[in-house]
Amino acid sequence: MEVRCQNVSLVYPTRGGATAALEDVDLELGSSELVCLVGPSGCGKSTLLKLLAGLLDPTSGALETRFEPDPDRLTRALVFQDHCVFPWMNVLDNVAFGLEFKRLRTAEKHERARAFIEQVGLGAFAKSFPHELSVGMRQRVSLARAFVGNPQLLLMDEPFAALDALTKLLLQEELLRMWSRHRALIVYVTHDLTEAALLGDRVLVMSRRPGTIVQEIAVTLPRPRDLQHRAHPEVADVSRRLWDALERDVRLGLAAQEAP
Amino acid sequence: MTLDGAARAGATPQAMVDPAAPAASTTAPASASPSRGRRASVPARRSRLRWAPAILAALLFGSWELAGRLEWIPVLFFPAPSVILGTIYDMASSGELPVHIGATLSRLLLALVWGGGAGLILGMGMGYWPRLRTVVDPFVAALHPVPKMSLLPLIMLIFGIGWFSKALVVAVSTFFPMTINAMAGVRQIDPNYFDVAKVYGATRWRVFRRVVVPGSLPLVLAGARMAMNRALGATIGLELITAETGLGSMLFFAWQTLRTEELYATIFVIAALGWLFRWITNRIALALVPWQGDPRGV
Repeated sequence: MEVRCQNVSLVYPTRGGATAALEDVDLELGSSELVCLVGPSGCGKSTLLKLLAGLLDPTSGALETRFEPDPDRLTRALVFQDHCVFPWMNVLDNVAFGLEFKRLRTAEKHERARAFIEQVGLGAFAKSFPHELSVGMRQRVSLARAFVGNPQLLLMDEPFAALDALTKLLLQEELLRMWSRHRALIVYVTHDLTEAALLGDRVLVMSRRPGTIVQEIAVTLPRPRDLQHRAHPEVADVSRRLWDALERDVRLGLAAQEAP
Repeated sequence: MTLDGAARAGATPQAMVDPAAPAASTTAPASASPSRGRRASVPARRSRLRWAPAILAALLFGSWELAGRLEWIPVLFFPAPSVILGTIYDMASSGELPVHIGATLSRLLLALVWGGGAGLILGMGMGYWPRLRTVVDPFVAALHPVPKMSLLPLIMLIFGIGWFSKALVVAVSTFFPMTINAMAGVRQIDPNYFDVAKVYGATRWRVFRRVVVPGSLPLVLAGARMAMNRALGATIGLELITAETGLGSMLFFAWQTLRTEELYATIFVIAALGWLFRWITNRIALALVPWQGDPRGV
């Protein structure tokens, strides 16, 4: 599968005018890589993700997503930081929702979902509702649902940002493990530079709004990776370079917020 | 020492009458623990506060009874609760009360299905389609405050004096709380859920079935409870002026014959129906929206 953006811009109407969220985004993503997207708050990362998800259309430019014609694979999957698993479905139904695109009997969907619930270690909680689970467990459910349909493109919008630091490590490990088994093109939005360096094959840096991609940093860390690599000099090096690329815009953004 | 040791997982509210509270829980914690609700999906323990309404009612009626017995208040206007309860008992055993309750409830139910059903459909549509909301909401807002009873003369002029006109008035009174709650219920669903459903390949119908309906259900149920009570109020109001049967007509005849204890008895019965509606909607909520927690509170 491939994604190609050329001069993609997105402008949305606001009170008394229009706001440019994205401007001239050029992007090329190939199959089965994990691409991280970092940038200052409000730079349009989430907007770009929604474009890729097909939830928004660009105002101008060309966005091309070419999927392999495989009816057994979900084209796109989505994980949000919050309000992601349905509170009115138990874990089993939530994960089975990842097979919504398929015409299968519920029993069979449940059977496949169960396997993925086991994979994320929630076997005992299949019948539990999200409000009975911790935030970390809920995001495991999100992961299981994202992977159960073996998606070609997986879009993740700060999926672990609401977790405490330790749970976050476990979930990163979980993601790497799931991804090694079920290859997908992952676009991963994050504010955590170490996370970007640890997970990504490449990290794309976005500018302040209107967002555009200003830099691309390749991560040469070998795969398979695990949490041990957090201490790897390459991770430190990449996250330092990312900060160098971002610092000016982040400081400007803060100054703009503080200005009257 | 706790009074709330026992697991009340599946207990119904009537079963909540605490059978000799497990006072041994402090001395034998080990044996007490397995009986506690293990499934987290049910609120395992309910606090003592659940007795507060009963205690409050007992205090109120107790002092009322006392004031009546001691003749601090004129019993013609304020018959003692024991007298009122006796009246209810008499009316019930004579078969009079069940007939009137049945008449009121059957009218109410008919109107509730129409009015509530129409409100549910329109409200969900208004919540789901902003365009429909833009067009229709001003009308809903304008018609909502019109006293529904004031429609009766007009409706009777058009449709005659029959049951249809009355049912229509009651239906209209249930329509608005249902419309507004269903609309709010759909609108408060986090947009992320719609995005997730779409991306995972749900069709429009499936988005409706799996997101819109369950997501709006808590507020729809609150709307149903409001609609039921509005319907009860409207039905009784109508019966008071037009009917031969029903709780409203009982009020009318009791008033005509100056039987205050029957007036009170009927009002008590109406209040009991309100309590019953709460019980019914809470049961439904517990069954259908378990993720919302216990509707009865702590």
